[in-house]
Amino acid sequence: MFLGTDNLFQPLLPPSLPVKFKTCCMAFFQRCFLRYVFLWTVFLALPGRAISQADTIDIPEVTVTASRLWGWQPGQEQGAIDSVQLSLLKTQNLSDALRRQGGVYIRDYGAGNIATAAIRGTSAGHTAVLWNGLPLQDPMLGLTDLSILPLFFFEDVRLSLGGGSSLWGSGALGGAVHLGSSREQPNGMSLSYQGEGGSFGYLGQGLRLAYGNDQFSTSTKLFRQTADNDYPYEDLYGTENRLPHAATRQMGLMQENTIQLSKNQQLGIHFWAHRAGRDIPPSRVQPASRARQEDEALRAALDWQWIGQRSSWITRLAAFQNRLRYDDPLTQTFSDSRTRSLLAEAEGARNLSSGLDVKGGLQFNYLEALSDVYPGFPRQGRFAAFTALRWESSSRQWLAVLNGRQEWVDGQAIPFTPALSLRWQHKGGLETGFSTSRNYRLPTFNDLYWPNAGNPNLRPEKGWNQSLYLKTEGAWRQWRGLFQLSGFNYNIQDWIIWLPENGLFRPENVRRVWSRGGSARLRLDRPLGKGSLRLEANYNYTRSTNESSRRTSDPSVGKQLIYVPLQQGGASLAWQSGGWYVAYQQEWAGRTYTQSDNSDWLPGFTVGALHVSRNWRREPFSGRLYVKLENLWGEKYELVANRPLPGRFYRVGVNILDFGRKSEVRSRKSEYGNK
Amino acid sequence: MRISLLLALIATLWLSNCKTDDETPTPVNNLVEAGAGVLITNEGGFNDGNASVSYYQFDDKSIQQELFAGVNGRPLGDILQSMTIVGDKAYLVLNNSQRIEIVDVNTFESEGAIGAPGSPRYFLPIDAETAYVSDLFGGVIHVVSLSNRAIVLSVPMPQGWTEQMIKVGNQVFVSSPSSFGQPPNRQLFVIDSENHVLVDSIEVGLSPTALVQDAAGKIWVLCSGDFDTGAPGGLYQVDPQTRAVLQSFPFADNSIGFAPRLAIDEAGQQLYYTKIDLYTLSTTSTALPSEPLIPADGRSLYGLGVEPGTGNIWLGDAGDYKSRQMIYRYDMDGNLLDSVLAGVAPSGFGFY
Repeated sequence: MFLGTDNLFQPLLPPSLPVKFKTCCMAFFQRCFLRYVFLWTVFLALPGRAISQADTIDIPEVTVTASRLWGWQPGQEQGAIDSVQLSLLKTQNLSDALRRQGGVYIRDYGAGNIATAAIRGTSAGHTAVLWNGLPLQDPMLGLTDLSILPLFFFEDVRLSLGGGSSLWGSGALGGAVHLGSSREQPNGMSLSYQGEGGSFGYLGQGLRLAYGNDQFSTSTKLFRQTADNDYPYEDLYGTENRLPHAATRQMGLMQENTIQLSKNQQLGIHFWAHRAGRDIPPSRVQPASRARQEDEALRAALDWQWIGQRSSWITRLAAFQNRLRYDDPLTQTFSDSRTRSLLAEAEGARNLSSGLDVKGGLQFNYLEALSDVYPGFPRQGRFAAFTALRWESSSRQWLAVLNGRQEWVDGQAIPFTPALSLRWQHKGGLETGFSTSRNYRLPTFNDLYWPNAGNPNLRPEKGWNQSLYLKTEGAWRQWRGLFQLSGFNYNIQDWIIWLPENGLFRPENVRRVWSRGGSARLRLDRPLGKGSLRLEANYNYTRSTNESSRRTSDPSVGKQLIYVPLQQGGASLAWQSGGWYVAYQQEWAGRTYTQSDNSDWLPGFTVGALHVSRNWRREPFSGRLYVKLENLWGEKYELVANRPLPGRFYRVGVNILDFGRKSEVRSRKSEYGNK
Repeated sequence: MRISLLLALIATLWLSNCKTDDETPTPVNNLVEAGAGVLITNEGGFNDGNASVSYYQFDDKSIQQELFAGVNGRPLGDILQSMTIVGDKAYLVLNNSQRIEIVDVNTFESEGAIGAPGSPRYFLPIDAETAYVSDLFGGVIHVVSLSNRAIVLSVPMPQGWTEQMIKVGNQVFVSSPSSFGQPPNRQLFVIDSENHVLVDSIEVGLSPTALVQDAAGKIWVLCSGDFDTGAPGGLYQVDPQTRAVLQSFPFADNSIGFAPRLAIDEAGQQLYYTKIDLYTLSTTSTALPSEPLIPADGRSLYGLGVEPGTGNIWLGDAGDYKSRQMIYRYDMDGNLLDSVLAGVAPSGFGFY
């Protein structure tokens, strides 16, 4: 079914094979896998078998010297997903990893359907999602659907809280999510696999094959995820049903190669093909749904890096193509949209003198859309120049970056976006960071060109952000601790919303939004017996209000924006010893308004989860076996009104790491470190 | 939603003003009295599950919200497209819930529901046993058996979208706005309500949308025009007996919005329609009015009703469709008499 005649992945299998045979291949693969997992489970459960604890090895820190990802936003708060947690989420999607991050609200429609992230009281379109620095937002919607970005493809997931338009361009108004692959150079052949299955027909599997030597490294990742998502839910009238028409399946291939051209030159070739097909279940208020969505993405990127003694260069060329098909026979809605984008970028950095670096770059981005909802063939050319100056004091106590970006859209200049980012570090473990930046988001193609509604005269959304954090790390007896306090203030003008005007919904630059708030984070570690204990907690307060209206008496003025919880938090307790890892997590959110006048809301919720994993080794294999109990207390909750999320469910998974390699993923030194 | 249930409970407690059981809402006395007020249908937001009915009482100018939830202890549903009062029953068509709730119009107690798969819009009683239901996408008029509370037949229609209906003798006139992906429609369709078959069509303006019948028995058709081409619609008078167009008043432009409304006073002599602003004309007029009676003034005029007896005009403001909004009561000369907060997207008024 998935390998239909028009399948994106068909070229991967010999064209001479009939479709039926190809489908059989998949089924065979799946059956084999299940048997395999079962065998392993039985084997591991046998007493007396020598299952040694896998050693911990260090995954090298990602170092891309020429990228502006590292070290050019020192005053901004960043969060990386804990790598142990990430390793248990590998068959899931980016939305699952970001859910437990403070300051982010995931608008999750449930059942594997669309999920977007809004950071610090902004909207989903204000979160840039970047793959190796390349923006993934859809030009038509201006959004990135996190539910079709499987974590299996990324070794590094990093959240940047605060504006980043001066570095990343349009969209990074609230923050950015950086997705990266490991630059680890395997020595020889390596193979790893992760499979996870569980409630509601869930099965996620990933296979990674990598090879490397001194000159060349290659990695191929294959991923497949299917789910029935037929979990119980209550409809609007309180009748319990199983969610119908909610099956999802996605499949992807990521192929990455690095060629060491010379001692200081490197060529990277990246290819990513992805396809997702989803039945869209009815909301709690609908008795049935027949809607279906198919997403296809083809992404290719080429980068060339040159690293000298005092300077470095990186040039990138990327071509992306997305296709979204939506069919709803019930509402006779059928749409087929393709978007293409081409990105070319050159960036150079030079060390001017001790502690002083300069960086500059040019970027060209061409976007086009071909859709049966648009009358024409919209396209856009964006050209941008950016520069940055970084200074580090000789004592390394101070780090300051001043940067700016000027972009032209179809030849028209949009506002200049400068940024200043400062960090001060004290040897005693105290650190503080401040950043201020101007940020923008360009109107989407839908905003500009939607038939009878699009407004070509829309201005970019823009605003200033300030953020400040104070972090202290210390040790006391057996305890090691980290405590961080942060605050932010965002003022966004010309926020585009679709409002009825002259009887039709039209996008307009009407809203002015003021978002401010703060967060507190705590992390405590201590040894316990032969193992260690880690306690983490975070609390986030976000007051994001609509400050203006076109209308004289608008009940939404001064009110909290919809889908921005005022309060959110989480806590986790994890214990690690002798190859065991046990973690309990509790996430919590307060009331979330669903009406602009705050007259209705989703009630607050709290969700607990228990994750247990055991490392294992059986030469030449090693890996991890894990069980996850999610929504442990069976909380009935929603992140989007009337889109129920599953109650208690379980997952069992196994990962098998590289042949003959000592393998276990170690937590990064600092989850909240500012690179 | 929990809050709706909470509101429902509070409303029940307040309304009954006596000890109530938390689990089962106590039957209440008549909430709605004939001639004492106006029922407001609040459409609600798509998938927000917050459709509701409010009741405004003329004597003390008070408004009661969430009538249905208050009495029945459960939410009404999603997208209350229309309400039709037949005798002492009200038929509430819940578009996105794909059902028609039947309530006793006096007590607002639920008397059951009719499932209407698809996208039901309007309800028209044919006789004691039969009713018609129009549909946004299905290209049909559903024939409903009122005793079985089920659709028994679907009359295929030439257009995907069937909207309002008026019954004259054994003929049912059906408006059909142009549907997405179909050629623009100018036809008003005629169904034989004895045999439930399409028998004829009458060419009026582009995208026939709203219908009323005047004192002389003539049908007025508000046509909304074509959004894609910008071709305007107009107001047309049709003789249901001869099926001839008696009067044509094409609009000068298609600035009309996606939910134009048409209403007529109790005497059947004065027409009211929204075309962004509110306009009025007599059924004997020979031209369209040049100036509105009530300008929108930045509001999204949505619901429209004419109060029997007084001829007062009721207007609902849809606002951003994501918040509770005001309803306005004007006298027949367009002077504001009262305004009060109703529910989300007040889209219609029912007089009983």
